Amino acid sequence: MADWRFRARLLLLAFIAAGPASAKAQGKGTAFHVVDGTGRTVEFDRPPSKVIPLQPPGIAEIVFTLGAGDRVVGIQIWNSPDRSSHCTIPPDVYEKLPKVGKPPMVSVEAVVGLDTEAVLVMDRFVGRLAPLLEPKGVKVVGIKMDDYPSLLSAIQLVGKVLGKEREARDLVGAIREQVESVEARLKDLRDEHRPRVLFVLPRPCAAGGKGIVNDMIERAGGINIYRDVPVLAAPLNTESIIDRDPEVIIFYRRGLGELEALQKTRGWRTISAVKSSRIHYSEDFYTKWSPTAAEAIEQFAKWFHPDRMSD
Amino acid sequence: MIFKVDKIRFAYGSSEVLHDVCFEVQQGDILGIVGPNGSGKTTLLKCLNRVLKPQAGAVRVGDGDVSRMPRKQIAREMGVVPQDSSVSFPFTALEIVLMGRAPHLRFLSGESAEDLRIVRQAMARAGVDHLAGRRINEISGGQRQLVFIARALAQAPRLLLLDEPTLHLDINHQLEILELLADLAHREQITTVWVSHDLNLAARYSDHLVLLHRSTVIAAGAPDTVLTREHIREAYGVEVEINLTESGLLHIMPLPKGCPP
Amino acid sequence: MAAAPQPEPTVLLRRRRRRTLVSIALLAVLLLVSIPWACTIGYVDIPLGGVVRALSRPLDSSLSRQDIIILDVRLPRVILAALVGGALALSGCTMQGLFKNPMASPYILGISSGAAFGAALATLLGGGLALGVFAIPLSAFLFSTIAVFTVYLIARRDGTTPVETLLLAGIAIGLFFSAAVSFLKYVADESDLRTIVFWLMGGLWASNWQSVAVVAAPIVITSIALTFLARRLNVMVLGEEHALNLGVNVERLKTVLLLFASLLASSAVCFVGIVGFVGLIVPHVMRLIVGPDHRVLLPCSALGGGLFLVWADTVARTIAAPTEVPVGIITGLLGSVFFVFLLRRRKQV
Repeated sequence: MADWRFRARLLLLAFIAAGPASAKAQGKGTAFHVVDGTGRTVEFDRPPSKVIPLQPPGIAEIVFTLGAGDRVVGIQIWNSPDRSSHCTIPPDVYEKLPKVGKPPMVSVEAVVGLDTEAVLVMDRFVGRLAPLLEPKGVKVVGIKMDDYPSLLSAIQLVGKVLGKEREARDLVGAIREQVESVEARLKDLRDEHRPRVLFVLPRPCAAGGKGIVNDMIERAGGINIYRDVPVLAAPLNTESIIDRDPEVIIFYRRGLGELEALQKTRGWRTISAVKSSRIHYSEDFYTKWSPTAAEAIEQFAKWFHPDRMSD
Repeated sequence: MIFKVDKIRFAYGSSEVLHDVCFEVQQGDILGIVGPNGSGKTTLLKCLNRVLKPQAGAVRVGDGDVSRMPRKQIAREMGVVPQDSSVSFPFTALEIVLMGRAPHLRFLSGESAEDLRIVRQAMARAGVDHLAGRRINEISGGQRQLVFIARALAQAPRLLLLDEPTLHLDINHQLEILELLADLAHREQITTVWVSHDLNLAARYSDHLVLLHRSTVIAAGAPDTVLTREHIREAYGVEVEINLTESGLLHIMPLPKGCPP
Repeated sequence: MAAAPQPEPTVLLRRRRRRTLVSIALLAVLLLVSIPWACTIGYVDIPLGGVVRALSRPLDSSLSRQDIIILDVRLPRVILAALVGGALALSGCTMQGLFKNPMASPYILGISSGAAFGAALATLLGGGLALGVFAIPLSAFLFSTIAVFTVYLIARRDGTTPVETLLLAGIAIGLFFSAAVSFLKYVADESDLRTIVFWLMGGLWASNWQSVAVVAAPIVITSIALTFLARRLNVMVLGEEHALNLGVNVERLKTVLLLFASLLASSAVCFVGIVGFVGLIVPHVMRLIVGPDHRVLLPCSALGGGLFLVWADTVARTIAAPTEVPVGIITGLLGSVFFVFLLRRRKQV
């Protein structure tokens, strides 16, 4: 973890130093275009200086990590309580930014009123927002970010839009390096050594075979016990859990004393994870794709294979 | 046993519906309550068995004051057949009449053989014993009224109160019901008080009448003294012709407006 | 005289009593058989012998995984389903009698909206309350009670509570709490929102012996108390005036019936969420089968409701194995289809 933060700080310094230089370079008025996450082509005269990243925290985190936080003129209301430790959006910056609505709603008036040049939005909202914003002169860039490879290309896309291509490359490199170092340590991992994992999402569901959590679990060397259920969140069924006997249980956020209640129930006590107390609580960022994804994968790997991950 | 109504006053909110209403009924007599719509007939009937509580005055059954009697006791003294008899649930006629025994049953007990005997008797009396297994919402209006009369009889009351028992019924059913009432009153000494809109029937089947107009009693007594042209003009605002038929029955015929009296 | 000679009243009564006992006995047997049967069905199919063995193990012997699944997962769940289904059906039956309307449901006086609000509030306040897993059920119960109580206070005037006013007040309070729930959904973050939505769909996934222990007493006691009022309920159903004329203290009866019906419904939903249609359909169907006499109808509704929910829940936890479907969805779908079928078949509902 300290390793990651140190890297981030290094990068940040590099960006700050390089900022003026790159601005000068782009000041030469090079127009460019990007092909966004939905396949649309968006033309730019120059990198926009006033942007709004929608659906926080994902895209916003990329923008801030790339050092372009000063160009963010507005943001949507973000209700998650865990805004502090690992998120790269500084809390005081978030507080001061004008709010343009609560997801999934966007106030067109507010966006236009802030002289926004471009909004960066999740791909599935492009269809609805583009006809509302583009006629008013606001460019809409769709970002597709639903698995690890697309996270990396999203970072590169945002970097290109904001003229921070070098920073983006570095960030992608840093993330890759971290994930690959985890994968290296987990090389030759045999299936029987992969622990069975149950990830409990906001009650009463568990992470299914689709989506972020499943992907992260697999990359960290675990097996999601519900990987055969092709949904994002599968309602819990106590029987199948007892039968599939996870060795590690991860709770998304501390709940309402469920752990203690579970430990009292005879049925749950027989589960390996409960017996060996391999129960963990996840942070918010473990369930979304963001620049901190690498850290999440590393944390999972440490939980799943403490022997291999110890330095 | 005398049934006595003493200066009853009743108001809904601020509008007075009954003002100083008094009358008396001897045991075994039939008293008819007549009057135009809005004169307070139904309200009066509801005051008699404490469905409504009058603001002043008293209703006495023999020595007992109705306002001091517990509800169950009132139900043992008075059987009531209200105007509305539509039932949305498919009870059988027998089940309905059996409910008439409710005021006599203790808390948890079911109906005993004696209760059953009384019920059968009541149904036979009302002429509906052949409808015992039929559902209440499948029989005709007239038959339904008779079932409810049987239920009232099953309460073994000393007093019978009926609100417009012949409304919407064919002549034959009207006669059946009224003949039954007359029989019950005169043979079994069940005091009967009934509300009617039909002056002729009221005159014919009542021993005494009470004419209500604008919440007061404007006439009380034998039918021929109550139903005079003057009284009817005062209460209803119409001119009538009153004849005596060959059999000595009163016959009232309204005259069209403009006809010479 | 009518076409066919009608049998004597004594014969009719005896027939009725016999039919009563037969229907109640039949339903009771079906329910008792269903409980172990449902325990054999699930994600892991366990033969009946296995169920019997699990049930007959002495208390502190070591248990196999199969035994644990039966004793700790399925059995409390099936029993809870029987209790909740019975409570909802009984509550619905009472409401239908109280409002003289075969379309009434246990949720008619804002109970479901109040409970939903309580559950949503507890979800959002989350760790702020030190009540652990009881936070949501307790809050749901509390607010459903507040909702009914408010409805009652609004409708009560001069010592009477007219039924029409109760109904309208129930609609108003229900709307109020629904709006409040929508607001809470609006301010909730994604994870809380999901929890709230799932609670609203109704599910028995969290059943354990604890929840059974908590709701069993109020449900069973209230159910028994209600059956004592059956005869008076019959008379009430004829009409309030008829009831008064027959010596029933109508206002007191209404209050008591309201209290019992609300208690049943609130206890049922507080752990399990809003399970719909059981309280509407089961008493309705029972009335068509056994008639409107509440001395038969009340126990049959309770037993029928329990039976219905036990099997609906069995479907809910097997149809999408290894995961499950919220049982409210199953009851809603089954209930509405069956209801349409009934409507088309009968001339009068």
